[in-house]
This record gives sequence, structure tokens and C-alpha cells, in this order.
Amino acid sequence: MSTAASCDVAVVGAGAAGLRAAAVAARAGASTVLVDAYEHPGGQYYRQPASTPHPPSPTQVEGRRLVEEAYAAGMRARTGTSVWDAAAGPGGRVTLWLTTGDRPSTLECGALVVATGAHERVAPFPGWTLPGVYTAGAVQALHKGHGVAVGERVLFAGSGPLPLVAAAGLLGTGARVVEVLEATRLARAGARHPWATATGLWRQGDRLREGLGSALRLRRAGTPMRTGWGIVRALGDDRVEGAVVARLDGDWRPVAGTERTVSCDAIATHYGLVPATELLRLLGAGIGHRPDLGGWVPAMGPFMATSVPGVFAAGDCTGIGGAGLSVLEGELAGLGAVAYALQRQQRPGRRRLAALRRERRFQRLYGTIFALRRGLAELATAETVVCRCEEVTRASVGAAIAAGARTASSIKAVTRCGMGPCQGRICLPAISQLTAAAGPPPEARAPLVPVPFEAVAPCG
Amino acid sequence: MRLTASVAVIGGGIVGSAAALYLAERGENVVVLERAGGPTQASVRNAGGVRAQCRNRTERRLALASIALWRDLSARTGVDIEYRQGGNLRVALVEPTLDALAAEAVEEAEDGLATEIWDRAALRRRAPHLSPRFAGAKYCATDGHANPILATWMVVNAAKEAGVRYLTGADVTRLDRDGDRVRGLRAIAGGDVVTVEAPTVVHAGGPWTAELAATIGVRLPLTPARNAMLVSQGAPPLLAEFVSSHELKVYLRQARAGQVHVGGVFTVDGTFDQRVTHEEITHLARAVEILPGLRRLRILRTWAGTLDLTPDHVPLLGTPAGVGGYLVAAGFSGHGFCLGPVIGRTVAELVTGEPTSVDVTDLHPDRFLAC
Amino acid sequence: MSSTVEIEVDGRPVPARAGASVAAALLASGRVAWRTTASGRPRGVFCGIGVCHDCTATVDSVPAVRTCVTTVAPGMRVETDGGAS
Repeated sequence: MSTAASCDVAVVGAGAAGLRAAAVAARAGASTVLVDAYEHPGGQYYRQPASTPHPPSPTQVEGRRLVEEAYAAGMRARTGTSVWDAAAGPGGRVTLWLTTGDRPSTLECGALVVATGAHERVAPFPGWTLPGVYTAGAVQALHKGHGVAVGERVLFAGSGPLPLVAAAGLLGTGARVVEVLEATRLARAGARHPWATATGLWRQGDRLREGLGSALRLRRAGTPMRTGWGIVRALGDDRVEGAVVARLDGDWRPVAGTERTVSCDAIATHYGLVPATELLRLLGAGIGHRPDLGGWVPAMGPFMATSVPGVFAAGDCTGIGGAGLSVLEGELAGLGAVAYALQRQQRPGRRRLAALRRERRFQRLYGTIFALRRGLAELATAETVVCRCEEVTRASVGAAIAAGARTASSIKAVTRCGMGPCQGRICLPAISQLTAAAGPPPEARAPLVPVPFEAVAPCG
Repeated sequence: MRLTASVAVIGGGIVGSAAALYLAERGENVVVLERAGGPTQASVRNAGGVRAQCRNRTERRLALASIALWRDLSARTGVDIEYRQGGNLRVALVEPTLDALAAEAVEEAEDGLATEIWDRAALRRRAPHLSPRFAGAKYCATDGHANPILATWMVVNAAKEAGVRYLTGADVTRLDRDGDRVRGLRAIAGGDVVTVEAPTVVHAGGPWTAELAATIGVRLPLTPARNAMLVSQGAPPLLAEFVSSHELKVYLRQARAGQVHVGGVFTVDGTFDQRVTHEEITHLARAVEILPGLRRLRILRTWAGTLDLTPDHVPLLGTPAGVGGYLVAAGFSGHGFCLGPVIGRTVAELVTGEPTSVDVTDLHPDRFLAC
Repeated sequence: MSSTVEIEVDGRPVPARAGASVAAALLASGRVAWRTTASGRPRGVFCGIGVCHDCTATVDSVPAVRTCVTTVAPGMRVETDGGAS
């Protein structure tokens, strides 16, 4: 038998944005429920240690404070709980269908804050399906959460701040970081956008400290860090044994004659973040294409309202912007959700608005500097698998396009890309890069996560 | 752009493509106009059922012929369409249902289709993986299922090999009716107007057929209806048969890669909206009442197709009176996949004036006109 | 101080840190891959956060369980379908 509950404000996602939204809503007097798929709140950035022997990092301490604030405010948390279906009903009430370790329940709310964060963007390259290739986030999750290092000689290659921080995190674990390669030529990019760089980095002390601190620690450990370099292919028969890397031109294309082999037993890859908008799209929120914000993002109104009455969104799922911005957006969305659910007026403070403007400048800088370049889509060869679940090669995708498939939906229908258990989260952003495919992702449909038949079937 | 052809086919799904293939093999110069980049609608969204049992007489004869054509097409193209003759099982919850199935079995035997009635004990013995709640079932050993995506593409590619021209991304906007004849059509493709002159137009546009037909004064009683499906993650072998319950309104089969496909014997009528509701998903999950082993498996995806329902759920096939050169092949009401090849061959026979291999007078679209 | 939990992988005992994920325990035991794809290729952990479904195994008779988001429990039975060791 499933259990049904209701509340004033439901928040989905217990990362930076969701935790702050829940705290704000609960403090304002709304009955608030925070739903998160993982066992412990904190999301990715504020991942709390589960079984590691290491003492918590400053970031983990910061995250702990956000978690405690949310609990202290009186919100109720449903962890280990996934949303598999949702529907916005009349009068703005939203019904969420949940599973907690396969046990079904429903939650109805007067207003919903979606704070589902982002997925890592991956780009297929030859050999990327070999065991030993991980996302940078996986390396970080395994280390921060479980004290497990993914290998003894780890190569980080990709683009964005996360690999640098993840690499520095591995130091002192016994794993050696053999190289850290960043595709963007940072100095050049910064010089090309001086105003954005200056204004974007203004008062981002914590961020700069984290990035520079990571770089310094890697330098002290003797790890080479190179900008304008990237991976070309992973080597090995049944697991990673090495990698071929090369200098990249301004379009991220390997420069002829610069290829060399790196010996490694693990590769961490990462090419930025993709907003996780599945729940928002399932609810019918309008979306638009913003490559500078990570891809397809919801259209946002005042107080982080989406186009669906009663549905608000905050954090990286509205556009990649990092933890600082996520917390501010969470606050706004929480206020908006309370106002909607309890029919009250809310107003953010002046200092909050100034902080928001500052974070948005950083967001714009991030999107400008770390923009994806065309060459990334050319790494995959015809035989490279692009959909890991269904093992569909780039050649099959090309054949589908040659046969007339134009949209992500029809490529999916013809090649089966996106029909596997990851439901397209890993491959569809990559395919849309590869094919410069027209239009939005295929329609989001329930179940948002695989759900057992017995949790769905009516009792009896 | 101006094109000429001896036959223009509207719709690149299984019916349109099969018609194009069999027409091309008879020497016709065929062009197919398809709105999407390839088959994307009902043809590739169904459960792949290939069955002859549990049909009315005309459709039974068509299905028997179609099954033979499916085997022939797969053999001569060498394409593996994951066709499995694992049997079709229509289960009955109560005795009266079983009695009705027994009467149907008699008619099926007259038509040369062998089916067996299993009582409760026989069902438990022959299909122990199914729920013990059923009073019995009718079993047809020669029925089965295939992969509708591979199968439809097999026909599309065979048609192309036979010389059929496919214009994809082509939205047909006008039928050119000149008095008592249709002489061609107009479409928009890639922003350009395409005019096709053809003495024969075959209209196999699924539920979208009615709107365009109405523009030349042909009223086709087609109702669009949403029919949802769901698929599980891959599982070890649980089910060889295609099992269906009209009382529970759900059916299921297991594909070669192990996913269990579940469909419903219910539709949401009057809509082209393909968004699956929570209620539909909940209903489809009742497949656990047929196959208890499904309980702990996970539902991975849901989708829906749009059926074209006729008032009697029997297809429309033929040329409406007074509209020469215009052949309607629509209204398959959820049976289009299995019947695709035989309908395609029948269309070719009708166009070239050969006697049809299966009598299709019962399918004429004019049967709904008031007498 | 964390305690040790013992799980069973393919019939053999594997020690794990209490609170660890099954994937973390498999990696710590030296395995890099424990699933074989339809075309016979080995897979292990890829995304580490429960999105990609590469790391799945049968856990306590339930198939296709994501080991990276499943916490070890004493006596848990994990059955893999291969991969390379």
C-alpha cells in the first residue's frame, strides 16, 4: 500500500539550492518536505562523507552547515527517495509520485521547488567505454564519499574547474595524478574577455582560493598541468592502460604532430555540466537553448518561477552557475514558493540582490571562458560508441541522419540512442553536440528513474 | 520542384512502405512522401505482435497471408527482424470468456488456423509462469512477435532498393482533385513547394489521413486515439508467448534483448496528444496480474502512439466512389503492423488491376456512407 | 573509526567499510569491471552517481541494481555477470 502525504512546499534535490530553499520555506512557516535521491543530503558539490577515513574538507563543512540550517528550520527530509512521475494539477498543486528504495508514496504540495542540479557532460572519444575511464565527478564521489581512489596513476583530461579540484583531492590518497589537462587556453580566454574576467572574479575570493589552492597543491606534488591540451583516445584491451593526448588548437582540435602517449591506469573525463531538467520538462516547463548556461534551461520569471504556475526552480538545473549562485537562487525560489503556497507577499533583501548580480557575473564568465568548442565533437570516430547503454556507434548515428533523421527524437527512435537505462542522460547531450542536432531533447516522460512494477501497479 | 510518378504514396510507415515496395516490384514508378525523417509513428511504436488468432474473419485471412509475407521478406532481404513464433495466448479470467474463445476456435479451424483451448489445469501446466487466476486460455502456436523498428525499416530499405523514391521531411498539404479523379498532390519539403503529378495516390497517413482527405470532400470516419506502452529493463527469459487479456485490458511480450513490452487494450480517444498520463502507466503495470515474475523488474520507459480507429475497428481499404486514382489505406485501429505487408500487396494488386489475393470488399471505406 | 562489513561477491567474501557503496567495495577489492554488455564488452563504474547504469549487478536476487548508490549491508549477496577482474 502506498502512503500519501501533502505539504505546502516540496523541494526536490538537496544540493546547495534545495537545502537553502527548504530552510527558507520552513522558516517562513510553510510545511516543507525536501526530497532527495541520495542517502545523505548535500548533492554533488556538498557531498557529505559516507565512509571515508579523511577529515571533512572546508567545502564539506560548509555543506554541513547548510544541511543543519535546513533541519533546524523545521523541514522534513525524505532521503533515498526518487521522483518518478509528477503532474501539475489545477490551482497549482503538484503531485509527485515517489519511490523510497522501491516503496511507493505520493506527495502533493501547494508549490514545488525543483533543484535537481546538473549532470556531467561527457564527450565520446575512442576507448572511453573501457573500464578505468570515469567522470571527474565519479572520481570525486568515490574519494570524498568513500575514500576509494580509482587508480594509482590517474590522468585528468577535459574542461572546467571540477577536474582540477577533483585531482587535487586525490593527492595524499596514494594515487598519483599523472597530468591534468584543460582544453581551454585559460590565459588566452581571459585576455580575450578582460571585462567579463575582472567583473566575474570580483569578490569571488572563495572560488579563486579553491581553484588556485588546488593548482598549487598539484604543482607541489609535481603534477604537470597544461592548458590547451586534451585527450585523443584511451588505450587498452579490457581496461585503461594509457592514453594518447595532444595539444589542441583554439577549436579544440588536436594539433598534428603533438600527440604523445601517457601511461595511466585511470582516466577522469569532464566537459562541463548539463542542467538536469527532466522533472521540469515532465511538468511542462518552457525551456530555451542557452549554450552559455550549459544547454537547455527553463525559462525563468520573478522569484525563480517557471512557466508552470506553482513550480519554481533553482540552482544548476536553471543554468550552470556554481554553489554560491545556487544558494541565492534557492533562497529566492523558497520565498517564491512560500508566497505562492500560502498566498503571501515576499521580498528579497537588497544585499541578496547585490549578491545575486555578482554571482550572475561569475556565471556569465564561466559560460564564456569554458564554452565548448567544435573540435570536441570530432574526437569520436565511426566505431566509437556514443550511446553506452545501447552500444550505438557514431556511424549508426551518422547513417540515421543520412537517412533523414533530423531531431534528437528521431535519432533516438531510429538508432535506439537514449533508450537504455540512463534514459539518455549520458548520451543525448553528447549526441546533440556531435550532430548539431536541431531542437530540444526528446520529450521527458515518466518514469524519470526506473521504477519497479510492483511500486506502480494498483494494489490487489 | 516538380516530380512525376505513376504512384504517389502519402505516409512512409509500414503500410505506405509495403505498398511502395510491392508496387515497385510490379514496375510502377513510386514516390513516397513522409513528414518525418523516417518511420516514427505507430509502425515503430507497437508491441510487434504478429498474430492471426482472435480476429474477425477478414482480418484473420489477411493476417495469415501477412505472416507468410513477413517470413518471405525477412528471408529475401536477409534482415533479422527478431521474429519469434513463441505462440500467442489469449487468457480468460472467467468461464464465459473461455466459452467465447472456444467458439472462436471453431471458426479459426474452418479458416485453417490451428488453435487450442486450455482449461485451468492445462494453462497451469503449459504456462506455469503466468498467474494462477485464469480460468483458461486459447493458444495459437504459430503466432508470435517481431521487432517493429527493425521490421519497418526492413520494408523501407527494401522499397528503396526496389527503386522507390523517398521524400522525407515532406508535409503533404494538398491533394489535386480534378472532378472525379485525383491527379497528384502538393507538399512542402525543406521550405520548398513540391508538386507531384501521379495518376494514382495511395493515402496511408494513419490518423492524419482524415484531415487531408476532407479537403477533397472525402469523409473518412477516423478517430485518433492514444495507445500507451511501457518497457522494462532487460530481464532473463520469463515469457516465450505473446500474452493478452481483454478482461484486464493489458498484453505483454518479451523482446529478444530481454525487455518486457506491455501494452494496453484501451485507448484515450479523440486526441493526437501522445503524452502518457499517470493513470495509463498505473493501468499498464497491471501486467503483474498476468505475469507475477514482473513485480520486481523495473519499468524503464513509456511512450504512446496514435491509432486511427474506425467505428467497427476494421480497416479502410479502397477507392471512395467518385474519386478515381485515390486509394485509401488507413484506419488500422491498432492492427496495422501485422497486416502491413499484406495490405501493401493488396494495394499493389488494386492499383495494377489484378484480382486481390485476399478478398477485401469488407474493408471498403464507403461502407460507412449512409445508404 | 569505521567498522568492516562482509558482503559476498560471486560466492566469495569481500570486506567493505561500513557505509561504503557496493561499487566502492568492489573497486577497493581490486575489481575494475563487473558487468558485460550485450556485445561482450566489460564495464565497471563510469559516472559514480547512479546515472549511467554501467556499474549494475544483481544484489540479493534483484537484477540491474546500481552498485554505486547501494550501500553495503552484512551478508549482502552480489552476483556479477563477468567483466574483467
